[in-house]
Amino acid sequence: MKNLFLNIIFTFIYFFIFSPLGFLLKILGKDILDKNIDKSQDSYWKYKKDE
Amino acid sequence: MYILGISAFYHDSSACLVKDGQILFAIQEERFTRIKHDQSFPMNAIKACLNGANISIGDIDCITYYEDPKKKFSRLIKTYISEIPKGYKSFLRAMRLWINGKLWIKKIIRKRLGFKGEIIFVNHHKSHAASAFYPSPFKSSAILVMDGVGEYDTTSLWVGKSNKIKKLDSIKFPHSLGLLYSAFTYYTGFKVNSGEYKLMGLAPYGKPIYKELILDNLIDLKEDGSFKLNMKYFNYASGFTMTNKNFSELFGRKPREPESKITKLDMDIAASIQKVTEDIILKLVKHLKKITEEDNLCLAGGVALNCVANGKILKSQIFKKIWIQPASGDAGGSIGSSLYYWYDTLNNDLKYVENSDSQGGSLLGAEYSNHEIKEYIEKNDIKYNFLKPKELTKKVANLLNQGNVIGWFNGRMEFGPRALGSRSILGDPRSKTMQSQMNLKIKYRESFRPFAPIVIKDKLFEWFDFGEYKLDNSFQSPYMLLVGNVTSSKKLNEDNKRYAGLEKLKNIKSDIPAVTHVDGSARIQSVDQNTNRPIYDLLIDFYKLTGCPVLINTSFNVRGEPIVESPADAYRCFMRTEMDYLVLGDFLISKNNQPNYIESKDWMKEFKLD
Repeated sequence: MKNLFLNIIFTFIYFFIFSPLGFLLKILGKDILDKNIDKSQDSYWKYKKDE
Repeated sequence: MYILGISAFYHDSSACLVKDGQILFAIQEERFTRIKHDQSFPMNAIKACLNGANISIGDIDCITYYEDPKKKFSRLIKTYISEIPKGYKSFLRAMRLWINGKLWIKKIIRKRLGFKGEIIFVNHHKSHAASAFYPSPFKSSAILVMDGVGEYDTTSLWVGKSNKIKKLDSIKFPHSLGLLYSAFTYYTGFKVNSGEYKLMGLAPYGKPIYKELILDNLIDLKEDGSFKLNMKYFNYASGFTMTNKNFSELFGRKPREPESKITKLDMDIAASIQKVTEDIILKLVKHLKKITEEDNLCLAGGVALNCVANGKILKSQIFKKIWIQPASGDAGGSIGSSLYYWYDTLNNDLKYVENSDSQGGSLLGAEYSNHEIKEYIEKNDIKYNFLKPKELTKKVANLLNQGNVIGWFNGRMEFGPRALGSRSILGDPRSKTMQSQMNLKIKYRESFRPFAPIVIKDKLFEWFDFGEYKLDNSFQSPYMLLVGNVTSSKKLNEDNKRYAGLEKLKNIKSDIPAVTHVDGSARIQSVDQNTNRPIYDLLIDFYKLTGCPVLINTSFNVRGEPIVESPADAYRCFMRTEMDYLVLGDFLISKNNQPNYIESKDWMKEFKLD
């Protein structure tokens, strides 16, 4: 019973909050998980010695 | 001050008790529940820690938990939003799991233990880094953590100095070396999070012909070891499988069905991903050396269980010394989180002993006294011989020399996935038939992996080597986490090239074939008299008798079963299999004169395969 309730709540959240948000981010070209590969870059590290 | 560390709810739950910076106990829950990689709340392990130290939960000053659930949850949410329109079903399942438990860790801990004190969350990779550095024999060291994923980090670079550790850089989810390896584990038909060692064991049978294919398509690897995965090929971010259709198309086949025949493709893929993994790790290690300029390296995280790669790090001589946390999977998080709190947060001085780690041979579990063992034996009408320790090791050395297989249960149980001579099955490594005999009659598996050797520390460099890496007297490999070469296999192994596939294992030329892999390598464990006296004495007696300071050491279990914890577990496993003798403490038990052992059910179905 509890799980059915949770399923309904989270189905709502998924389709009415996350999905529009997800599509909006896609349209805006936002890569929130930093998935894009950039072959031209030499490194994906951020730390620089002597910073 | 007592700190209780807990790791739970993902895989390999464990508990650890630290007193004033010293690890008193560390135990995995699976040993009690008899469910391999058990992820449930480690109630039994916690009880065993408290009982062992003779204290109650009221004596605990602080509980540390090995990751930050809220941060992990936020990563999940972010991932699902980013993966839209994929992942609805997986999202529902994850949310149910989290709302029903994982999100309310503090509440669960308080309720289950009746604990009223402070509860601290230590980040996942910070726990791993701490578990690698604080017990190590170094005052100052670079630290490399590689695993599947914690909160966000999947690979992280650290430096440890005295009582502080500091993160320098990291690679974040979904780009993960651990998950890349697990994806190939899944694709080659083994179980994710436990079958990775099989993929590694399969690698020497194949040729790394897909290395370029992997590097060109699946991963963008930079010269300095930083990388990103091409998520077009993977399904783990929001699906129920590791790889997807694109991945299968790339290699021209669907994932192998578990238990179906292992093909040449699987072997070549195993060799390829192993080679890619080693290349990535060596680049990471080089980069870490460059930015830290440290002499020493500490490793943790599940990828650090890849002992072949560890051996390559050692051979590369980029760092002078390396130390690897033996429980480098998630079980070790309990140790790391509690030590981090004691040293870094509370700013206590580092306890440091030159050339000696504080992991205690990883013999951190419970011990059963001769008195307790005798009580068990007599209650169950088991026939036995009681021997003094010196007579016992002599007698067992003799039995081993005659080709008997011995179940060896002695002293405190090991922490971490490997049996290190306290809960071990032992055999004679010189025998050509021993490898298959032990696999078929005791482990009940057809195996393409040889067993691991346990060797007297002072004899290590006479029998094994690490290529260019010069071994000195202080060198040891106490946790079976370094793969080296069997020295004698080099001169004898030339004509093994004409055998193909699994035939190779039957035709190994080495003085110790049962522990030599088809490429002449071995997963070495060295023991000295300080860490595990009984097994050391046994090795000495076997050496005196035969001139061979090496024994086969495999974990005391059957396939898919957790390592035995108690005398009852050990006796059950002994009677179910074709082991010849069982040693429980100072008691020697022979299979020949035991009362009939009747099983209540088909036990072979009890344990799932990796």
